[in-house]
Amino acid sequence: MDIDDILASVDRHDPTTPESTALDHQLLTRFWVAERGVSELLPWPGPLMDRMMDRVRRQIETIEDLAATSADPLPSTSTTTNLQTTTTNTNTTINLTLSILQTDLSRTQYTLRSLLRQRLSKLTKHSMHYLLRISPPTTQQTQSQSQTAEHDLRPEDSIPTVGQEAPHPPLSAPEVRFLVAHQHLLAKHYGDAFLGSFPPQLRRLDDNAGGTSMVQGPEVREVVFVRCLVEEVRVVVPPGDGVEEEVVGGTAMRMGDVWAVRWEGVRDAWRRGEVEVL
Amino acid sequence: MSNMYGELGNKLVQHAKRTQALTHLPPYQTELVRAVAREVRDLDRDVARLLTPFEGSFNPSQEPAIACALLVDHLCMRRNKRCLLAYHCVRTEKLEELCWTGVDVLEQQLPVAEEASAGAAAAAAAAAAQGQGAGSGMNHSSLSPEEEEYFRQYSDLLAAYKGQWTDIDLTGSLEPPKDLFIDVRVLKDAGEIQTEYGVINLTKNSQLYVRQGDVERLIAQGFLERLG
Repeated sequence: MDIDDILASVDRHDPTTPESTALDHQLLTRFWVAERGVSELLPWPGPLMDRMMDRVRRQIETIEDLAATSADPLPSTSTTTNLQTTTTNTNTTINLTLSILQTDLSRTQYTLRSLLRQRLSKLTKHSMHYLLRISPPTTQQTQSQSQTAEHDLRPEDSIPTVGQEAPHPPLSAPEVRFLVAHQHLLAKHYGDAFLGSFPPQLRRLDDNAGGTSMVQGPEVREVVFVRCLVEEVRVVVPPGDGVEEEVVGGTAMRMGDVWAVRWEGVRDAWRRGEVEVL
Repeated sequence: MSNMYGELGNKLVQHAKRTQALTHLPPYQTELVRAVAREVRDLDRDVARLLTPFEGSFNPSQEPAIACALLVDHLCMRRNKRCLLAYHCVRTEKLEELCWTGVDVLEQQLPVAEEASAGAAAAAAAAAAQGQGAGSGMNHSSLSPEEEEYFRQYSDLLAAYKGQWTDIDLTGSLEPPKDLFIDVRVLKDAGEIQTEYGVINLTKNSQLYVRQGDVERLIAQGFLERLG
């Protein structure tokens, strides 16, 4: 749980207060920065997104109401100059309020849009990787099935089956649907364009003959810039690359430190809210 | 088989590489794609031919020469597959990108034919024939029929996903908003549009100060031009 989540939970019973709005905004911005900085897809922040979208909806309504008021020529039956001045004044005030609200709205919309697009682009880039990750582990069974009917094997058959209604962390339900539909589209396209004329055993999209898997995942060793938010964070060095076993904390970050580290080294610390991505 | 195995695949990858740097989509290499796929089938037949005498009991350590030939065949097939995937992947990515920016590739193919027929007003019969050719055949299209189908279906998919986020306009600008209002010049007549500040009339060559969110779509479609 993020430290801000804890703070936000204090007044979560009423998400309409300005304090919780500001906090959510900060949470969203932080998450957006992290999502853009890190190579792999981060867990979908469901409740936060629901609250944000709810606010956007309400803000649009408020703006529409206000705009309607300002566009309506106010009761203009009276012709006194005095009243007309007041009318213009109210209109100016309303227009200023409108501008402020709309500026704020378009900024929120931008952040949300950018976040969603970033996530989609990550999903599209490593579609098979995420599909394999969220699919139930029944790969062996499906493979033996496909071998029995090998002559009419299609590239689509190599796509793991995923239940599409529930969210599969780290994806949201709409993202799962998009990913599955998109991959089927791609597989069909490849099949129609050339894979269909291939020998059956070469039609799969998750070919891993010769020890090289065709499925690529995101590079978790990519370097990210993080700031330490707690007393001390120990950087994790996973096994591999000459390191035999997982090493925790040969080196430690202190509060306020800004480091460039491999993402895999601080991933868990980020989940615990101990570091923030810059 | 005058070519060396893999040479055609290489050409495809070069096409793909060039496509990445272009803003438009160059013509689909139908012949090349077919040739590479054919090569894969040839190689597969070669594998079968090499293995026939052994009737399923092939032992690589006894026949190193044949084992080597088989390995080369297998590697070439996989390489060709990767080349084909890379080529198609780059192109579908381009198509998706166009989809996101709101460009209709399928409609874009048409103006060429229209201009051609307009220019040849005297030779009306010839122009009509040309128009027919454009309608039925895909001669001048840089997309393969499969790609056109893919574009259509991806548009639908995108529309469905977008529909869940109507409040934030997913295909809107990815530039952080700086100004609420911007100066624009109208390039093409677009009639009247309704905004929260009332109706704006978009007549050609007029200059307007409008809310960015209201006209983003029109800028992308080439009706307006942003100034400053």
